[in-house]
Amino acid sequence: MALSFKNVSMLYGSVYAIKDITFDIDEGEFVFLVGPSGAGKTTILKLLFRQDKPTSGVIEFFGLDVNRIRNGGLPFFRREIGFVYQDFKLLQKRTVYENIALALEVTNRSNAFIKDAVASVLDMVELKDKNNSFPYQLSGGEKQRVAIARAMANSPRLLIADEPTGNLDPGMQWDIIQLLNKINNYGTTVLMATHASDVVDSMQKRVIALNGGMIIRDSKGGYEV
Amino acid sequence: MIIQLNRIIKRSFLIFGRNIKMSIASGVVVGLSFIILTTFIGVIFFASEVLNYVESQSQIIVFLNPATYSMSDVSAFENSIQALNIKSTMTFTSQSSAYESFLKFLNKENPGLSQSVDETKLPPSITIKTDNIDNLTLIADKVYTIQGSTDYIDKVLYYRNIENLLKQFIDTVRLVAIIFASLLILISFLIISISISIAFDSQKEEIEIMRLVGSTSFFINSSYILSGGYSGIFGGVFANSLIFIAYYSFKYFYKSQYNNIMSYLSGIPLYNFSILNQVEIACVELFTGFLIATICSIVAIQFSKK
Repeated sequence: MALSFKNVSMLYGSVYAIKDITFDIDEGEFVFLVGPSGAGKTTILKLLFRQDKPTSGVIEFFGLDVNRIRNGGLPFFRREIGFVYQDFKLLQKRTVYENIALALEVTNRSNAFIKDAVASVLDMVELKDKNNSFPYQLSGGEKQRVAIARAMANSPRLLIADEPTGNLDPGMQWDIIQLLNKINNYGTTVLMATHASDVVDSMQKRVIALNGGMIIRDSKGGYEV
Repeated sequence: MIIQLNRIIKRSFLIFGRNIKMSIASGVVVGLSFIILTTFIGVIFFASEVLNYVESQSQIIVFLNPATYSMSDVSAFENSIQALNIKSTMTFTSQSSAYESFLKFLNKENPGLSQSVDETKLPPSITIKTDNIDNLTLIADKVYTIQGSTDYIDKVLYYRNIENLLKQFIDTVRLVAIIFASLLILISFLIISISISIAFDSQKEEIEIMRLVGSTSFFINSSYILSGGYSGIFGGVFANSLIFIAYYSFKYFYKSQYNNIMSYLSGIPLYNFSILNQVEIACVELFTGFLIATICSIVAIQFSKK
């Protein structure tokens, strides 16, 4: 089991962002997390990445109780997860290479290893020729590819994508989805939160649908049942 | 570990460079603090050396009345002083010994004058010395008491006021130095802290991304702390360069004044202002600057996190 949520609730003030959520994701699965704004998608991703702690319930990541990880252990836990954001979160004053290398520099990797690893992930996202470009010189789709490359640099066991196609035009959306699918085919578990119904429909993968902080559907198929 | 350390140092230089204006401003304030501190320490040191010298040279000279004193009075006087149980040396100089010494002095300085002075013009005396100024003051009090109750003491020579004045001066300078030093350290502390906070806040996005990709707090914070430390080192270099330039400029461009001061101070054993000592002071200041700035950075980062 790659991931497991057991009766997880998160209370912000007096409002439940998610309530009594339970689901499991197996290793190698590709899962869409769908639902309207405020349904609780981002809350689930934040809890999984330990940006927040749940009010109640247990979250397990490959058998590890995420809530019990001490602050000192968080960076090492996060290296096991790649996170892709809607707004890319790239450093504007750093080149594509430097942005990706950053994820490896914070670990204890040698420069030679970093060079090889960056080349490898840039090859995977088909941006080898953009090595020395700055983010402002890239299109939206290319920026997202760089963000995915950075997320994959540490060879994570799980890739989380929070609305990765939200800022992209339809053509580019499809490229990014194909890329995530490729990563999933290599064996990395992918959990993607999205609004893009056409993408979900075309992929026909497992869908966890949320509404009002609760799971209303968990099955394979399109955006709507 | 070495790879990480290397990256932390590299990153700290990058942060220092990105924040160069504030870093230099912080460094200059640290440097000015050092200059003022060094000046005060110098004044205290110099005044203390002068006081030590004055103390070592200080003595009480008791001039006896040639008409009324006797050797038994000298013995009685010495016994009274010894009864105080203070370590001291007393030297009795008779009229003839005083005359001999005086003649030697005159023949050396002005041979013509020696014929105008005879033995009876110079009074016999007892010279009292101690190794401690406070003890000498106690002895002086006793001497004045003896003078009041006997008639064989003509005059007592003791410059109590100069020493007291010097002591008061040193105490005052010390107090002013402590106040100034505290104020300057506080100002340096604030400026470095603000500078590091600004750097930290302006790079919040980068720090957030670093955390998201799994960077440890140690890796992130230590780069900022080190970059703050460089401001302290810069301050130390700045202060030392100014002091060095000022000292050697004075030495070479105002040679006669410099030589005058040095010859005036020739009897007083002062700190040797050599290049080696200058390097010694520079090292202490660089280390202190680095330490102060590093502590400021740690505090600033703790506040920035909140």
